[in-house]
Amino acid sequence: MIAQSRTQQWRQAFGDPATTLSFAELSQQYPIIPHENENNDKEEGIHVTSPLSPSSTSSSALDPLTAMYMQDLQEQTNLQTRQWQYRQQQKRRNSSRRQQSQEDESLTITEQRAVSWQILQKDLHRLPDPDTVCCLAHRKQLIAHVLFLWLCHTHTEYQQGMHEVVSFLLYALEVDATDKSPSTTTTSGDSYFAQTLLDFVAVLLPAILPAYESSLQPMTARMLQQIQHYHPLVYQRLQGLPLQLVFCKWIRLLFAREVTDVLALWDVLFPYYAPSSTTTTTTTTTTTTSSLLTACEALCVARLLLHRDWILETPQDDLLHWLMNVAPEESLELWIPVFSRIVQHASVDDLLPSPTTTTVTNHNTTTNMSSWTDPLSHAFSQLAMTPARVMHNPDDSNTHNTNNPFSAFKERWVQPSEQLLTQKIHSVSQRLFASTQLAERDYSDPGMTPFRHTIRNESSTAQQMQQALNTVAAYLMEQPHVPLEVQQAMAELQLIQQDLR
Amino acid sequence: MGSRVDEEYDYLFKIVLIGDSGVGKSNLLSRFTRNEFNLESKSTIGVEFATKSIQAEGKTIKAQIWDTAGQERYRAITSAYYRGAVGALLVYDISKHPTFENVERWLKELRDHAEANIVVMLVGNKSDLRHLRAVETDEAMAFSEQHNLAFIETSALDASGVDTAFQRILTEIYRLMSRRNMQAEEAAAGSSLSAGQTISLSDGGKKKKGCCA
Repeated sequence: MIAQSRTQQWRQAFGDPATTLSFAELSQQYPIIPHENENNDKEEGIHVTSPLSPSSTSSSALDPLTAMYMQDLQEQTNLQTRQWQYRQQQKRRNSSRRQQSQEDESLTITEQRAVSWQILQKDLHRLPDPDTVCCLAHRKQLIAHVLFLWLCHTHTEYQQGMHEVVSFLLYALEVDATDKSPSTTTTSGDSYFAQTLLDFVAVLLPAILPAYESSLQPMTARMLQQIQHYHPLVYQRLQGLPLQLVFCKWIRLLFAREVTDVLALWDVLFPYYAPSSTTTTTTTTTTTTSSLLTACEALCVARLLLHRDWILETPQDDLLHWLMNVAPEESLELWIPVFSRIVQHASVDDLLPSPTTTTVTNHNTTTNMSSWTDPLSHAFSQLAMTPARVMHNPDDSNTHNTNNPFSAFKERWVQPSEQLLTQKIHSVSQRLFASTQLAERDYSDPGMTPFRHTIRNESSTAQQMQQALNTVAAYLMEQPHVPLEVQQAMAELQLIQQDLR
Repeated sequence: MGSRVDEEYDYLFKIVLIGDSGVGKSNLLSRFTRNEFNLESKSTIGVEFATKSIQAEGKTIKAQIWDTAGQERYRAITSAYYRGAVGALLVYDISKHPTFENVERWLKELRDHAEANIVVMLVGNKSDLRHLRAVETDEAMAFSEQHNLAFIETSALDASGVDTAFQRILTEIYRLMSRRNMQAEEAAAGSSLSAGQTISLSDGGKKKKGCCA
């Protein structure tokens, strides 16, 4: 149906990079195992063990769970020690900068890399997995490796959030690979994933780096100006709030937590990337912002305008609270048209009617957005809200909707093939099953702390899920042919649903 | 959609949560404000933010709690983060000693950026991990006494100590503030005035709202 895959389209949007980084070459240049520096480290006696190398020690006498935890603990301790030593060294260096020798300087860089690597590992433990089908540990290692190489190559320090952007980039590649025929999937392999991921990282991260390295004050001021232009009342309400704290999360993650289907949003956003702009891989922060950042600004403004009613109604004291916890957008239907107008500096009055009229005039909507409202998507989005291992107080109706781990699946729901549907139902049922088990925890992820299990059993959620299941069932009824696995998966799901109630 | 938090309150206090990455700051926040615990909570990007009202000595105190990312590089937004904060929960993980060793560095950060009057409470989180304890209660207690900090151990997982921690720090702030206000009033009655910066504790704080919608 679509000639080009999503990632191919992105690649086209990014244009030909001035220089292409080779994953293989960089891997050689920046080995992940910093053992080579052991001899140089005698000054501090630092011994770095690579998280990539299998840990042969420590697990012999312990049960697997404790061993897993101890390994994690060891990594954390290494990191802390390393950070402390790094700081001590920095302190010493600062005090006697003049007498610094060349080799000492290079040690700092190595140290810094090791610190980056370990913080990255720690964050990856906490990274939500968008796709339960894929091997978790392998996936995280790939993200870590690619990001690490880029950080080393550009002398950039790792910052929390970068890992999440890379994770979704990888997810896009994974989705594309599964959409292709199985034969091509097997041939493409790891090296293809790694190289393509590195290409994307080398383009995107420099473009959003200013958002990581600055206080976002000038950007926020620009956005407020735009809001003043489009909606003076909203501007009045927002004035004086530290909005940079809100935008910081939105832009650094490229809206990954602000929308249930971030890949669809990126489809719209990435064409605004301009290769000619000052987004080469250097650490120097330029005063001119990249066109991608400008587009991000417009997206922020569009989102605030979309929620103008809330902003106008919410008491000033609670406004910042509300803005910082605003639920992910489930639909791009109105957001994108408003965004497009703002980018073109056009009027948005017809797109943003008064509060009472809710008719959507989406003549401007991007073609692939129309399917977002289809009932099946909605049903799955309901299922995706399954609060896996989130503990709630039943009488606390004030449910803050955090980004759900299934959101990325939505992409697949738009055009569900039988195979994907089966997969999806299975994963949802696994999830539901997990939440029926009081002492259930995910042992597959070594980053998780053992003995920490949670459960949630809330009637309203059960009802929502029932409705969602009904919708899926109704959809399946309309299909000319429903494979046996799908039927079985549905049956299983319904049983679990009954257990939950 | 987000929720609205329309309610009456007598005082609004800003509290910041600080401490190393991964010690459980975000889960302390979610446990206190929403009674939720999420094992799979993601890294905090920049700042998270939540509010909750409690009762202390007959007054309704609304706590505005700011939770920041533990990574050092996020200090670009530091000034906005500490501005107006009257209390800080300095969190470490009882199962990871290095997070406790870093407490001193966080104290320095508070001294550098926060108001001098800020009330600080040392919080040893993850107290449910008894068998993995790496920081003894006595050690932390001695440290807190030495630095004149309040101290408590909590578990965001089983909820123990969480409410108490927030309740204690908010009550403490309230008492300090009332005392200072009283002193300021007495001083004003005696001499010309000069409420000075002590009032800034309650600055923008005392508000009584009308009926909510």
